Amino acid sequence: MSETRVTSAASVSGIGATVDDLVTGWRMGDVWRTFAWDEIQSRYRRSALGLSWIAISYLIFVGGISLFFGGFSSKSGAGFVHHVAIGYAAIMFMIGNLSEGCAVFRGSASWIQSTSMPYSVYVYKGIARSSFPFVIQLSIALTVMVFTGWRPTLMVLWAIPALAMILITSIAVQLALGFIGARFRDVQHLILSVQRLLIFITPVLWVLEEREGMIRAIAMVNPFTHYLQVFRAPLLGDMPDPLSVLAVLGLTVAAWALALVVSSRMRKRLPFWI
Amino acid sequence: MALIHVDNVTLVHPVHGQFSPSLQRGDAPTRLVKNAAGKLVGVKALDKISFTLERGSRVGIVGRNGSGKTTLLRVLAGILTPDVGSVTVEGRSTNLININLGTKDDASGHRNITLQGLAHGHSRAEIEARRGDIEAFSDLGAFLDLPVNTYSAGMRMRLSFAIATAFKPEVLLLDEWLSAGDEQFRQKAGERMKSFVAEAGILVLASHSSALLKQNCTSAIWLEEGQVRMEGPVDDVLAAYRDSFGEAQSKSSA
Repeated sequence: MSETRVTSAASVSGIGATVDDLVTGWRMGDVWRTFAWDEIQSRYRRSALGLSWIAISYLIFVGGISLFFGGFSSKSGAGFVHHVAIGYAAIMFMIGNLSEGCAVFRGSASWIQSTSMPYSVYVYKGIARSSFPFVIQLSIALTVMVFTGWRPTLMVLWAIPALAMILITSIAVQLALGFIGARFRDVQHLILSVQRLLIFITPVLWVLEEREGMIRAIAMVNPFTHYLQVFRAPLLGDMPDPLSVLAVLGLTVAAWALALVVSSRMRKRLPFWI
Repeated sequence: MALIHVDNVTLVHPVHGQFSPSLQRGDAPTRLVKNAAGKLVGVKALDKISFTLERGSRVGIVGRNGSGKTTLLRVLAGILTPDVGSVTVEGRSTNLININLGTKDDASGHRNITLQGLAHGHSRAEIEARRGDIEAFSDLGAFLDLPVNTYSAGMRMRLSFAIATAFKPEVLLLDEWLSAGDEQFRQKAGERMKSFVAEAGILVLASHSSALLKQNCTSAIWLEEGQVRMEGPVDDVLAAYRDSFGEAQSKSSA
């Protein structure tokens, strides 16, 4: 087995090098899945309840919110629980991409500085790792919903392309933020500050259709609202708003355009920044 | 088939932030790189380096601290990219440049064999096929079931060296730390490096130890301030390198 590697400023920069990185990294699925699983395990290593903490903390939050905020919504008791259960799992995954994106390369500095693996491997690894709690939480949500009167319709299938769009955007967001966060250290502080706010200005704890004026206007310019709406509405048996569908398509294209430009220009110097 | 071709490589290590004004003056060290406005933007780590290594070469890299040895190895490994020039490496390369990088400290030795094997592009089947060899060569026994953060520096090195060489790389890039091993392991490592170079691989070893270089290398490259000062048979280069110490001393006492 022989291979030839040529490294020069031209060969590692540009869109071509970025696409090549993304494709080669994707093919190394065994690597990023194994690393992701290893990180999940080490995060809960030596805790007695281990991975069940993912389920416990989720149930505590959704249960608490449903009790305290349920009265503020016109949705019936169970309907509001479903709304929060899905919304919370999805928003935590989506905004998690922001802070994890900033650290996606810095957290893997040890490997980036010692191997020539494609950088996208670290992005796929990060998303695989954060998908794990998301999948568990979603399974719990659906189980709870079935026991509280939820009956899925064919409409549910629309959640699948919505989920695909969320994942595809996550790759672009983490890739772009990985480079930006490594170069500009202020970005992660900014993101941590905004992240907390995002849970409240996205319709997770409240229902978009029940709001008017300022609150609604802010929610509508918040990209997370649209991703959340197109994913959650079909699961709850509603057709997603066409405006949100268009917004998601546009935002996904925009996120990828940003990621390709950032990566093309910044990837050459990444090892120096982390 | 292995070949390394380094063509006119220049690499500037970028720096960001504010620095002491003395660094921005005219008499500052010449390796500092400034932009048009006179602001410090980087340090020139490698400066117009060119050389070719044919199959079967065993090359030592010598030079004082900061002469660019490790940077050169990282460029050869494809970790860093030169600003100018290009590096061509034919053959599967493995590097052992920093012992503390590329290991997962809270995972066991066995788990690290899997992770490092995967990270270097090997399949699970290949890794399992080599596991016995890695166990035997590292000689770590039951320690392989303990987390790597319980290992001494020497033990870490044995594990990393065993993993890196078990997969029969065609190009092996090693930095100084081979000297962390005890005498017995150094001999074992030396034999393994010889046998793999005999199979037409290339060994590049950066070190400050003349003994280690003479034992493992046939030729050498002497780096000074990021440039190739001399290239030739290992004994000649080491002799000239050692003579330069006297030169530097008489210069500083004059």
